[in-house]
Parts: sequence; structure tokens; C-alpha cells
Amino acid sequence: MLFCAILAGFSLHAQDRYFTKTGHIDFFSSTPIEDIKAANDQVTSFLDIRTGEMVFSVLMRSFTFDKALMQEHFNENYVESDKFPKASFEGKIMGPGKIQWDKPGAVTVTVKGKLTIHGVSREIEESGTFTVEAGKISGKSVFKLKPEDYGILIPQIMRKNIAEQMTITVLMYYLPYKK
Amino acid sequence: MKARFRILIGVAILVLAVGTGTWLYVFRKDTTDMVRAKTDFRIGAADLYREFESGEQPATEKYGSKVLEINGQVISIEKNEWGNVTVTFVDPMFGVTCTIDSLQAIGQAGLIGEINAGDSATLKGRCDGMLTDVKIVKCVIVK
Repeated sequence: MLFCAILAGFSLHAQDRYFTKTGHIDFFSSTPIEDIKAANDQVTSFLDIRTGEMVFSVLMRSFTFDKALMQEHFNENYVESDKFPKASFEGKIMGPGKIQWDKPGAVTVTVKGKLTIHGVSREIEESGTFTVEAGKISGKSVFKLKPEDYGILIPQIMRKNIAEQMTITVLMYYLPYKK
Repeated sequence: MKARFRILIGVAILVLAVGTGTWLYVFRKDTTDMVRAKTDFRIGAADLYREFESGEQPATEKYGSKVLEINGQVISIEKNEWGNVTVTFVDPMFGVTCTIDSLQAIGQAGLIGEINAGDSATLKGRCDGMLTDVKIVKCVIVK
């Protein structure tokens, strides 16, 4: 539904739209006791290079951990994947007109928008880099996020194992959207 | 003395068994063997997509985290930027996408090489839900 609404509002010029169904998002938590990392290579994202609109959506169940027990706890106790199966971001690149999308190179941008995780939406503003190479567009951003800000409560007994802030890495390789 | 020794050995074996079980439970890797996993549902890709499209929430409750065997006509088969192989059914954007992990893809390279767009194929994997497409992950090729 989110994508249908977003696509309907996207630029009418098909050549301005890019997408991926295999984007990557991972999060990393580091404490003296243990490091925890989970990755998801099933992220769907759309980018409109004319308006700068961006949307991401992920299924929480698709995050893969090294340890199966961690994955169970993540889905059942922390993000409650049955109740809140998806996380999403809807936002805009600030000043997309300044980016020369048809020329090779990398440019750092600011992206603002609404991030929804665990049913909680918050406005965020983060920086990221778009790279244009051989006609292909990729985007990368690394930022911090506090689970508590999204109503994900860490029990006191696990507080020493899970960092207060997670490092989130987003990496997308976009393809032209031809629909 | 002999009885005490036997009890001691028994306790040692019990402690070892419980310890090993706990260690395996806590530290086991996610090594879901999809080849041997019990199939919960067998369904055509078009029917599965239709069910999600007409009611995403009930379909997610029915199929989420379940092992599905999906069959249908392959729209595309390609290796993505992470080395995973994606097999798409129904529609490139609004269909069913089955992902074979990079390591599994190495093991099934022969079978993967036999599948081309337009062929009929059956894959087994875990259903994670729907974005624009229905996502089936940790897949293996059945035929």
C-alpha cells in the first residue's frame, strides 16, 4: 500500500524513477560483552531523482543474525515482527537539483523524512552519499539510532549486551524503473 | 564405593548433556536446512501473490515464517549484487521473489544453471511477507 501511494505521487517521467528490491540494511551493536550484527538484503526502495523523493520498506523477519536464538529474540521480544512486520522510511533529498545524476561522481546529501519502526514514526535528518558510475546510481548512509526512541525496550538484564545506540548502514544499488 | 562412582559418572554425563544442549541452543547458527525442512504449504506463485494482494494481513498471518513450495513460470533468474540468486515469478515488481542465499547458490549451481526465464520451476523457502512482491527467502530449488 505504501508503495502504491508513493508511486502514484512519483514523477510522471519514468526515466526519473529508480528502484531496487535487493537493497541492504544492517545494524551493529557493540558492547564490551558482545557485538551483535544483523543484515537484510531484501530492502525495497524507490528514488525519484527529479523530486528527490525516496522511500524504503523492509520486512523485519528478513533480518538475519549469526545466532538463531538472537534472531528469535529480535522478532519475538524486541521488534515484535508479528505485530509490526515492516519498517519504512519516506523522505526527500534536500536539493536534488544540485546533483548531476548523469555525470560520474559522488556527492554527499542530506535526507529528511519519517522513519517508522515498531509502529513508532519519527522525523529524522541524516547525511548520505550518492554515487553515479557507468549510468548506475548507488546510495549509502551510516547513522545512529536508539531502539528506545521507537518503543523497543531492552530488558535491564540485557542492557550490558545491547548498545544504547545502534549503527545503521544503508546501501542501495538502484536500477531504472521501467513500469 | 562402586555405587557412588556410578552416581558420579551419571551426574557428570547429565551435566555434560545439559551443558551441550544449552550451548547448542544459545550459540547455534541459523542453519535452516531447507532441503529437509517440512513443507507447510504447496502453492502456485500466481495464487500466492493473489492471496497477498487481496488481503495482506491475513495472508501474512497464514504464511509468515512458514515453509512454502512455490511453483510457476520463471520471469527472471539473476545473481544480485550480494551474490544471492533471485528467481522471480508472476511480475518483476508485483509478483513473488524467491532468494537463494549465496552459499546455497554455490551448492545448487548446477540446478540454477538449468533454469531459464520462461521455464517452469519449483522452489522451497521461508515466507517473510510482502513489500511490492511476496518475499520467499533461504530458498532451494526443488525441480
